[in-house]
Amino acid sequence: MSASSFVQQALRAWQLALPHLRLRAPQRTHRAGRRWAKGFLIGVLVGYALLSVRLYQLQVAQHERWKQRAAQQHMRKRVLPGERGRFLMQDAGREVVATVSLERGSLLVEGRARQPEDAAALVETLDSVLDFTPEERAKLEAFVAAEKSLYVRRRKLTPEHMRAIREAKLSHVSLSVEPIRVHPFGPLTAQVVGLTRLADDEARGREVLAGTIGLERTWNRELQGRDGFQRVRLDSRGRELAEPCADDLDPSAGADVALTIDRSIQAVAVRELARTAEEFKPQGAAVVVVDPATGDVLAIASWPTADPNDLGKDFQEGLRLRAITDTYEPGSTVKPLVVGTAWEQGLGGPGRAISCPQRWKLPGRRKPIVDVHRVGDVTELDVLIQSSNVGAVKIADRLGKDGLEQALRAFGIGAATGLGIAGESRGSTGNLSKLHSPTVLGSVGQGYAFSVTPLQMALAYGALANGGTVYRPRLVRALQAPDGTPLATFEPQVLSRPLSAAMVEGPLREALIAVVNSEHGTAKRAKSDVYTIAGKTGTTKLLVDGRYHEKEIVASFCGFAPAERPRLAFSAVVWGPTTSKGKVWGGTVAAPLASRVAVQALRILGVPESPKPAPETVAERR
Amino acid sequence: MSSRAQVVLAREASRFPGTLLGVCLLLLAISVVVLKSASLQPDGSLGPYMNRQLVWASVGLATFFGASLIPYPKLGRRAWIVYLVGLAALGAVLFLGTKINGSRRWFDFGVVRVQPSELMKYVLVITLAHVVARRGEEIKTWGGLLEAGVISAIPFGFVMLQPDLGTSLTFIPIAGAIVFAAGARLLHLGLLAAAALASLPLAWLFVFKDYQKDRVLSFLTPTGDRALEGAYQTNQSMIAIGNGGLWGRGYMEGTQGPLGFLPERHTDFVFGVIGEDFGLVGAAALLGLYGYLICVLGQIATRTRDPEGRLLVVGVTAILATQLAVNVGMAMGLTPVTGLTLPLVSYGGSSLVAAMCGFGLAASVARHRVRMFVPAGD
Repeated sequence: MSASSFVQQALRAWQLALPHLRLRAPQRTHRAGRRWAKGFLIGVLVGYALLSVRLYQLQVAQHERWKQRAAQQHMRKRVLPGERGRFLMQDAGREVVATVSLERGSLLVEGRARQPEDAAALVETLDSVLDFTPEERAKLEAFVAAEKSLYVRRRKLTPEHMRAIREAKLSHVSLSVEPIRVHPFGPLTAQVVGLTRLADDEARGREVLAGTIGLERTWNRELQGRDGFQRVRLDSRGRELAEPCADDLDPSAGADVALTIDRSIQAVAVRELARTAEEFKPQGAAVVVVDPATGDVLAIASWPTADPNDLGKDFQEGLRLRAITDTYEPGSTVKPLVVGTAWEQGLGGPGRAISCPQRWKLPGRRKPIVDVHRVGDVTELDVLIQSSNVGAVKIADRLGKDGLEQALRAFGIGAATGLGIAGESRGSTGNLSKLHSPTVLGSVGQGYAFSVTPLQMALAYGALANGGTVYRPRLVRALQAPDGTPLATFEPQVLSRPLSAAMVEGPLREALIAVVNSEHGTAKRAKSDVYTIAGKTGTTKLLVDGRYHEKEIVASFCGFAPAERPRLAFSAVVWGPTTSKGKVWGGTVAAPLASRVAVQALRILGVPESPKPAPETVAERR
Repeated sequence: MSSRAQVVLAREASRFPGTLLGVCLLLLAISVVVLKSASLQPDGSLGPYMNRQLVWASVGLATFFGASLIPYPKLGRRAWIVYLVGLAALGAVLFLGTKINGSRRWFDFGVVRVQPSELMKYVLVITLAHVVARRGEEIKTWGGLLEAGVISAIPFGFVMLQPDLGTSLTFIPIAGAIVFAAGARLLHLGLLAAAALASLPLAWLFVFKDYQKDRVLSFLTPTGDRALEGAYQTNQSMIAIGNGGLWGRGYMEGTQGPLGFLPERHTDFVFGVIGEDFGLVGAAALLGLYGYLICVLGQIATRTRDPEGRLLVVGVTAILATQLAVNVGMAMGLTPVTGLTLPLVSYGGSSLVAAMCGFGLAASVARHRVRMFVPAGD
């Protein structure tokens, strides 16, 4: 069909479509009339063709694209942040919040002043709301003078601050809300719980809190909440309008981490550490209190500490949980473990006589073993009570090098306890397999040449308290949903049973009670009128960069209480207490610290007072 | 009623182009319905446009009947008076008009704002139809064309001065349609068009205002600088139309309009509201209705042997077709953004009344054309 005949036909169709307009007169339009009508018709048809194609293109062919662009303009998917889980501590049968997330404002002032009045108003308002340092003030003035652009960032603004700033409707200011971590007990939990920082989370498409150290890091994944979202309709001025849609997703908070730590005992530990630090100005100190029946860590604290709510400069030291990160040579505190193991294996016995000269040469060892006081001919039990190095080495020698290493390892020494906090040291028994046998054996027998952490010693003494079972430490009791339903619970785990109950509850306990409570004991300052404390002191030279310091020592005390029915096992370690105050050793520094913590902790736990001990009986039997 | 009166009434009724009136009424009804949706505010309240448009529709209907009663040959004989009054209004608006968005286009009478250039389109049609028809075959000469050209160029210039490029440019297809229908040579018209195109660069440099250049530029580069207002408006309109899809989002269920993204949605971009609410189906139906209106007018024109009447209807049709093409094209990003309304559907008194006046004149032509065939006295 040619173009002209098409137009002819269209014209006819046009007329047929409008029969009611048919005129009475015959159709006799002149040539010019037909020409213009054709021209118009072509014009109209072309125009309609263009419009129709475009309409189809927009509404059908590209519909999805335009729909998407429309949605981009008027729909916002507002993220409802899934809150990070909390940390809970035990407190007299209840759980108290140790760490929780809050939302706080964040302020960013950025840019160069365009209008001097705006800049002045900005500075004035900020000045009334926030405190500025002199440097910042200078920056602000330069900003008002339009000399420099400004960059001021402030976090942790209260809602009142936010409101004040928002109502001032300032230019250059952007406000946002960020989650922050709040630790109601501050320094109490800093080292255990650790810290978070805001980090980009690609999966969640926003900045979220991520644990950097401590349990925050260990349990980061479980603590993370799941974000929800809400679709909001916006108008062209960005005002939110519509009701939430049906497919909105509610956020869910992350799991709460329920700690075994007892708030009050932890508080006691921190307080007493501070008191000891005040008195002896040490380089560091740590206290660990465990429940011997389960391995639950009731308190684990180190000095110095830091307040995570307000970290100043040099907070790193304060965040180090020395109870697991720092090692020391346990000295005499290892003797009950070594001697007990020897007795258990029949290589001696508490009643057996042993000769302990003040100086004694272990065959094959260059340096002699030396006691501070001459102990003389005593029973092997007295070796423990009077802490004879000579006697201890003689008994250790019976175990042999390998036996000694096995004994230590059985108590969890030389291996990480698995507390679940990064940075834990496992201590070291490495020398035993490396160095010349008698030399090392002589040192290890006295508690030197290997290293332990305060936590390892507390757990080892837990075995002396509970009848011979070494537990793995339990710091996290359960993961819970925010409403308290447990998501996962963690049972106590036994590491080993190096000693029999008879051995532990018999001679070893008798010896450790005597150390504290007898006339000749080395830890008389740990003695309490309320509860019978049992334990052993340790004093070693402080290792500094692999060499022994001439003066500085590490004072430690490990023990359990009440001795007749132990509820707690504990260790207290003080690195480098100042020696200016005269005689400083385990018995004078660590023993009182441990004793004070233990007595208060037992009171907190409501443990009945011990019957009055009779140290004379011990003395008589001796 | 006497039998004589009955006969006259029956005759008038049989001659009255009921279809034309029907289509106009339908479009006005659509306008009122659509303007309700277009006046929906983000907070759910309604703007005042629907009720006002109802008032204007009544005024428009009265105008339609009034104009249809005017014997157009008598009006033609007074074309020069009408023309001069129109020019006087255009001249006065340059000094007395209210300045809105940098141009003086309106007389503000408090209650109503009147836009003389809307009326001038029809004045031009009346004048040109009369003059060109009287000159007859002279239109085939340069002389005849020059006369028509001068008559068109004067109001064109006035409107340019307001400035209102969009409206002034519509004078060109209107005048072109009339002289073409009168029998002007295609060669002449082609040469004129070529000359106009050739002078475009000069106009760009000396005549166009910056915002006009912006609009043209943003039309030519729609993905370019979004800050350009024209591009923003077109973009929003295309989003609204595209968002409507095949069946539309439903009456008053659109998002881009009520949420305020679609600018001028009750006036220039009302087609965006229709596209979003009623989709391809609704938009195509509306275009079909306009097409039918064009057909009805075209039919009247082709059936009218009196050149003046025919040219009058051609002019009215040309105004309708031009505004339709430019407005709908603008809403879909095919033509630059101009202030041209969608006839009868866009909110606005001047435009509505002027359009109804034009259609009324067409009805007058339809009523009178029979006399060309049937001798007086039936």
